[in-house]
Amino acid sequence: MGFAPVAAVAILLLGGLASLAAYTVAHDASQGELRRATQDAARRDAERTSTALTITSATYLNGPNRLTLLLTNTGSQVVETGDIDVVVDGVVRTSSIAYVRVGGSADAYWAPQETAEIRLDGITTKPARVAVVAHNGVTTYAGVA
Amino acid sequence: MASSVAAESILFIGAVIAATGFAGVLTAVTAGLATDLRADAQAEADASRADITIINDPARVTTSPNLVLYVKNTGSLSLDPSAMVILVDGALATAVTVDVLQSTDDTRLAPGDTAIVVLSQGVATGDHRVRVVSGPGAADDFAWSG
Repeated sequence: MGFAPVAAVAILLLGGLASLAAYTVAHDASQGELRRATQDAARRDAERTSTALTITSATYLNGPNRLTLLLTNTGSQVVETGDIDVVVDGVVRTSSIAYVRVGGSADAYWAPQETAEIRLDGITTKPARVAVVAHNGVTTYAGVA
Repeated sequence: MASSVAAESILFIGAVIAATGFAGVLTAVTAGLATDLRADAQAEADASRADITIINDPARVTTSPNLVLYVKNTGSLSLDPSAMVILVDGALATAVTVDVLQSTDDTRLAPGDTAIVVLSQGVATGDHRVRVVSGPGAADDFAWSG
């Protein structure tokens, strides 16, 4: 047997190994990315299921055009106060939020069983209904006193 | 003898060229497959990470003269709100304005951000359903009676 077929087989083997290596790396990377994304989606779903807020009072003051909400985190998840939205009579009034305070402080995270105060300014007429939306879309509703 | 050596040399060169060509094609095809595999996996991963929620109050929806929707990014991937597809009662609707709240960049809806979407049409009193589809597979349905 001459050297030519040996060389040809060797080159083919090398090409095959290189292809297999490239495909294996891509496959592993893809599976890892999919696994991380699936875990992320499952984590968000579980977080949403265990998030619950309750508006304990919604008070409007005519003079200063102020709406003050007191809420309790009745779920078992931490709520991010920076991404809270407030819907007043069907209109998003997040830009009217003067502050969100948890236990008197402007904390970024609102723990379970803690009370938060949300104050909105510039509410020129007394609203009938308010909704507070957490960062993950969980919403609570209440009438305004 | 000299002709035998020459013949063997020619055979050897020919075999190497043929094998190299075949191996090259095999490697190129596999590289293409690997690239497609990564792209498909990335698209699927993005679809898992993307999520939106329509946060309108179903008892108080602004329907006239224009339907107004509030779309919150409740996923972990930034989205382009200008690329949203909106269906109102199954028919394609057009957004007139898209405004990302508390942001100067209306082309990026980051996780936790909310966009105000004003459609070019209003809807009459009655039962309605809206579907918003944004980005790589993020979608949410919203129904109300008004």
